[in-house]
Amino acid sequence: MEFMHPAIIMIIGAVLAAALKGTPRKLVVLAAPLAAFLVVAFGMEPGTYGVINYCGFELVTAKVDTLSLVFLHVFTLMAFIGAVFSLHIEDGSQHAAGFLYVAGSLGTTLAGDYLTLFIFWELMAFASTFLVWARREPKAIKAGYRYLLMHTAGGLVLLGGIFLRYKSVGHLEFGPLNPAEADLSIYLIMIGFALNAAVVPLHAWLPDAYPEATVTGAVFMCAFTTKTAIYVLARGFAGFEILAIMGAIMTLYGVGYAVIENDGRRILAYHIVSQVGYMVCGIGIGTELALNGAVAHAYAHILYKALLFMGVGSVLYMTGTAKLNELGGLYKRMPLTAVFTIIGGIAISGFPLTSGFVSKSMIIAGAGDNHQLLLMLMLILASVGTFLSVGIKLPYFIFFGEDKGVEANDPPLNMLIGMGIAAFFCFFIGIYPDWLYDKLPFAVTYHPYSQYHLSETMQLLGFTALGFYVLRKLMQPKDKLNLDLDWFYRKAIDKVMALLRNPLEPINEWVGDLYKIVGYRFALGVAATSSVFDRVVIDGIVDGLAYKILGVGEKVRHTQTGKLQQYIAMATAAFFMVVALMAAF
Amino acid sequence: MSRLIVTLIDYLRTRPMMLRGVCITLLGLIVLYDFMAVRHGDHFVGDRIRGFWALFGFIGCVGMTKFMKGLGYAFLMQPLDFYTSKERGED
Amino acid sequence: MGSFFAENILGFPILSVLIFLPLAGAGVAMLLRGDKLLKGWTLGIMFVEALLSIPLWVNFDPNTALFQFGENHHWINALHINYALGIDGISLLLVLLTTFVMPLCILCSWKYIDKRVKEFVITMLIMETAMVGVFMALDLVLFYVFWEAMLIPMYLLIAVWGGDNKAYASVKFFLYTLAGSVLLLVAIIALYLSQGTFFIPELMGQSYSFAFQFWVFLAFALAFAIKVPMFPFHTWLPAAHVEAPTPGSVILASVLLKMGTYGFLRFCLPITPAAMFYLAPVFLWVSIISILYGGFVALGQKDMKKLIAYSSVGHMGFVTLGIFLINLEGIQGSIIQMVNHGITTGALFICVGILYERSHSRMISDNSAIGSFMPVYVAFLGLFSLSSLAFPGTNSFVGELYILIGAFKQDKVIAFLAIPGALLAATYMLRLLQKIIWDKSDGHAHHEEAHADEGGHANHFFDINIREFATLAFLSVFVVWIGLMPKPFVNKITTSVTNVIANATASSNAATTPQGLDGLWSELTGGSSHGDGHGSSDQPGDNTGHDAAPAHGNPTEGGH
Repeated sequence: MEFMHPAIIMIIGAVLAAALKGTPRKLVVLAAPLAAFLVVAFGMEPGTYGVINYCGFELVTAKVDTLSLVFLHVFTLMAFIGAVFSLHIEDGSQHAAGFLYVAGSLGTTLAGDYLTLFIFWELMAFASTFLVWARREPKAIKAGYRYLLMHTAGGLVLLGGIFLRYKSVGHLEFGPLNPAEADLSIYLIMIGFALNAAVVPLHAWLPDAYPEATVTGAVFMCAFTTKTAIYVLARGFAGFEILAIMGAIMTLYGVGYAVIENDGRRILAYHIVSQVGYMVCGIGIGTELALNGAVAHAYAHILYKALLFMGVGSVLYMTGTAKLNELGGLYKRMPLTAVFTIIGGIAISGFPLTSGFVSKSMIIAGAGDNHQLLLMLMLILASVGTFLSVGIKLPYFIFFGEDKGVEANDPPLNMLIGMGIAAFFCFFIGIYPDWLYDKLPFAVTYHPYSQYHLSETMQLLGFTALGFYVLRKLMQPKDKLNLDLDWFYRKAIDKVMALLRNPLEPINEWVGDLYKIVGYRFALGVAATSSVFDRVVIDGIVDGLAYKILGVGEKVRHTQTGKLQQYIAMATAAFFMVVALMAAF
Repeated sequence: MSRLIVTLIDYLRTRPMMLRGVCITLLGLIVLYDFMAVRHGDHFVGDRIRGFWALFGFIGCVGMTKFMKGLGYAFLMQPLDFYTSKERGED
Repeated sequence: MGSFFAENILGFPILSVLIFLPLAGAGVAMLLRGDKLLKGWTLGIMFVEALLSIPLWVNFDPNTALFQFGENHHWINALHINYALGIDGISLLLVLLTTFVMPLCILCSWKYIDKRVKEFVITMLIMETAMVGVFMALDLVLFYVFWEAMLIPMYLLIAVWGGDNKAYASVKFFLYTLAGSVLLLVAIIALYLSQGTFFIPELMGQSYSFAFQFWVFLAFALAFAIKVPMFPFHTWLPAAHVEAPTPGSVILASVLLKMGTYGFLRFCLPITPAAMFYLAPVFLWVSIISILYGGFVALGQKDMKKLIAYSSVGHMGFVTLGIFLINLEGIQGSIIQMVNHGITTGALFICVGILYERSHSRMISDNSAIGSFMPVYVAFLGLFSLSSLAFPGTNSFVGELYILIGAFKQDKVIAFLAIPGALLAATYMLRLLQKIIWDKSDGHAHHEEAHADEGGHANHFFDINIREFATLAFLSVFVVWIGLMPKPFVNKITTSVTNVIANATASSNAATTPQGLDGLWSELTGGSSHGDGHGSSDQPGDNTGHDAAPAHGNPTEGGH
């Protein structure tokens, strides 16, 4: 069967979506990701396809195996859900940007060599920036700019690593790397990947940009950049211990900020850092169970994180704000949204019967099996924080709590349907985990519904809820800006710009005016004194020529603005002379 | 459907005592269940102690909240225009 | 002498035709009247010129390093000056770049130039003759004549049709370039005195003494470095670009700057290879400085043209970086990048010109937030900006890829320093893009008033018309074509480049070493020990005599 690259489908969809209007565009917006999903779900066999020769490199544009298939599956499914959710958007360019973004993600997932990977990686970065800029508010524009800078910088580090690797091993094949052989090139590539995965300390772009994106844009963004990075880390860096440690740190770091943040989408954004931390940690642990867990978690997370972003996004869309201190009591006016958001919240917290219960715990079990107890405890603590911040705090202060009287309604039907589909999968996977387990790269021997696991989970959840209840006054969110590591580069950028404007420009001007001094002295000095060039120029003819040229220079300097005809005449005459000379000989 | 949800939630909110009672009962049942649950291959000491995770959850939650809020009040929280007021047309 | 040339398949002197057709057109133009007629005539001539250059592409033999379509006639016998023309892989693309960009210049200046149109078109036609001639000349004097001939029209372009500060900028341009020209002349004379001929292929690959090569190279290199422009001789460029009219900026960026880099490849590398290898590290570092410096200064610019001008300094830094790596990928990349820069930066200047025609301001702040009513324009601007920052899929990505590969093969440190240059390019281009397309928040009270009072200074710009669309569309085709399918272009240059590098490596290994700096000084002052070769050898790269100690400088990697 012929191979159809799903990224091409999305690119075609993007172009059509930008060009069409009205109903035809809506059809395209739905059809493109659906087509891509069908291709992935039913049309793909493992193998290598699409080998192209470019600039002397052999590019493998489609390498299909179980690992890439499962990611492709959830990416295209998510693209469809996102498309449904954003169906009401009239601006074709936003749809196009979203689809190009998805195309970038799909292309990266299928890439069999580093150069293809890089090309689609950059596509992802640029397309997603437009999703931030599309909001058109000054804050969003600035945030988008920072976002793009971070990603471009990361991309260039990646490129540097790729070049170095090419130099040392002579080929660009993308496959598992050996931690024992790690050299500068491998670390550079890892840093490039890690930035996209929002590994601390390269994470600050995520909570900076995601809350500023459009409502629908954020839904797309939350799913793809980080999970694509997880995919490439899973393929290349499984078993790198540093990832295990960084991942665990990420889980706590993200959740910590989520606990004190005020903007609903920023809570979710920090929380992405936390959840991705689980995946990074699982990749770092590297055992089959942990890797399976990382992949399963990625799959489930995309769906419930999107559900959460859709829920809070709907609130933002209908009320104009996502700030917890300004909201409250919305269950009365947005009941369906409330329900969906809560479903997302319990899924992410790992309630039994939800997708979180059968996926996140695989990683924790993997840590335990591997006798990495500290990691395991960190991950479990992060689970506590997860339920606290996203499972309880977020829905509570938006939908319950003190009613601030904000006007609202449930959002339009397409948005509700989008949420509904995601919510469905949250339960479906939880109730029937084998559907997901069959897709995982390694054989699954894990049984989530063990008595102990149920007990452990219920204890953690129940008593976290108790803790919240006890501290609910303290948990009140304050509308403040929380400093994070982006302080360094935001301040640094300021200083660099100041440096440019202050000393550098005048120095540049001064250097530029040196010519005047040199020029004058040159024109006058050569005639008067003997110089180095005088020495070199021996012959009399040459002397005369040199003087003549300088003489012209002097004349030109004096007669700057006039005698146009004279010069034209001179030039034309010179050329006719040349022609005549040639004719004569 | 939405009407149903709102009605249900309203019903619960107007009966705080009942709600509280139900929740406490549930928590008790959960801890009790832990005494009965079968364990396979425990990884560390906490696995064997009954009710360990309940404690872990509660203390973790409280500890985390207090810690982060403490950090927040200490130096993390800043006015919203912390960056923008100092930027002169940051690019 | 014929052994340097491949047989001219076309059977007629196409190169001469290409050189003198515009001149003839200028002659006719002197007799015409009426602005429309003049512009139409010029456009027609240039269009024909472009068409005539297509056979060069089609009939070019990519498998030989000999000069093709060659012509060689005696001109001034007493001084051994010939009228010699020929192109190889290095110059082919540049000739085509020139002939195709010129008609676009006329197109974009259709409304822009409205006074002294006759003088304008004549100036442009003479420029085309000169530029094409520069790339085709195989005799040093002929080359020099064309090189100089390009000066005056460019000066006039700025001085007559330029902006407010045109006097300052045009003189600065003239003086800088003139200084370089003098050095060029010096080098030419020195070579003549050494070999008794001005014929370039015969001057290549001779075993000159290292000291001789050193000074000749320096003279050449300074002249070309001013032209490129390399830091610190770059300061004429922003002034010239800002004050020049749009067609002037386009032709300056697209073609004139390439003359400098072309000079490095055509003269410095084949004629003075030992010196080039020896001094390559210096020029590599200067290139890096150009890249980073150009990028940083561009970042702080408020004037669109100045920003693009400094970005040119940065881009040309990449080109010179590629050249001084002196390996196959580096030079291939630099030639491709020369073409790419010509296309992309030319297009960017056309874009700025389009905005200027509407807003009469070059300031970013006066041209911001136009995205909502000029979507087609924005699409083009976006494409060319992406190309300028070497986004994968665009033409510049290919060039930079080759150059970076070449850099990583040679020197990791240099390569790593070049990468922030790419990041800087992304930064300033995206800043420009973001401000022009969206940014309403620029805190310019004056701007706000303009909005309110005149019903929008920036509010009712019309999107681009057919003429502008055609110009930009044509360029964008190449942006994408070279970006996705660079093979046809790269194939044409590979053989010539490989040959040049191999010859340079071989002959630089055979050159004598300097006896410390004393040798250099005595070479300069003594005046009697210029060169060692007597008469001409038959083939380029033929090294007679001189047992050699290996030359200093870069460890060389011959060809690939």
